[in-house]
Amino acid sequence: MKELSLNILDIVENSVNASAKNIDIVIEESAREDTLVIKINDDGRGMDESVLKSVRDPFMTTKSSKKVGLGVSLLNASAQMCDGRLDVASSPGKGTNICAVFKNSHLDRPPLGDISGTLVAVMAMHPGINISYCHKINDKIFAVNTSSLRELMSPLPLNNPAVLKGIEEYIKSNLENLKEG
Amino acid sequence: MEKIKSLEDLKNLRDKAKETLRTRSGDVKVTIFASMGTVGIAAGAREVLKMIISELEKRNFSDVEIIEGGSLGLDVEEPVLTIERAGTKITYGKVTPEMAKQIVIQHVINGQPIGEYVIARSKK
Repeated sequence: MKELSLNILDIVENSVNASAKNIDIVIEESAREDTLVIKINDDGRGMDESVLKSVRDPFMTTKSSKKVGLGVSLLNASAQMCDGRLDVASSPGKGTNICAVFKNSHLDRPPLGDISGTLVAVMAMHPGINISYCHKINDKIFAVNTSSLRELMSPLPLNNPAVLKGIEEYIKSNLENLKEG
Repeated sequence: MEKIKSLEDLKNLRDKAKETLRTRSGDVKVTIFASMGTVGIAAGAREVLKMIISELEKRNFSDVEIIEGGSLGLDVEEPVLTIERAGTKITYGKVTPEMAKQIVIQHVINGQPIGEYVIARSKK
């Protein structure tokens, strides 16, 4: 994937396919520790131990359970290439927690890219799912969640094109602010 | 579109959109199936979807539902886009944002499929 935001979209689609209703995305950039951390937690059906063991392996997983592995293995490869790591915790009925750590200054680290595009794509396809997004850069923070956006934009649905476009602009300008500060 | 920086701006957009929103005739007219699997995403499916949303917004067309279409097993054709309109499903392959724009204008809004991009058709 060219951008980490595309990896995030891929993992979130996995969560949705695992019947998740609530998905939390956290991004933490720390200059002091020179890390970029991406966490994606869902309340989907989770994975049992055998799937979990093979989740990083693209060859094992694509064959045993089509929807589960390839996206995770791509993120894993990307993190490892950047002196980082990927942790996956999951159990059946308890959801899945994914945490990818990158060395922020590593030359091979893909850019985060178009986060607002990723979030709006998810909202367009899955307007009923609650996504909470939290982005920290050092001590500054931007957070948004679709359940309050849904309330704010009512009676218009979250997947109305004008609403989606507006939310995309809102997230984009707030992330720009966050980066500048 | 005006700059939207705050929740207040979003509220204003909502109030404006409410006024201009054409009253829905009941059912959703068109369903767009976007394939958003790993291969689709890597091939540019998100950019295609963003273009679709932009065009729908520009043309104030909201009688449409966008659904994650799942992979058709046509990885080589990704990004794949299927449009269901008036009981017919038409699938386009190797869709670029530019093609997606044409598909929205000609097919989604005006009901004229673009033959040269079509890879599959089916009646409901």
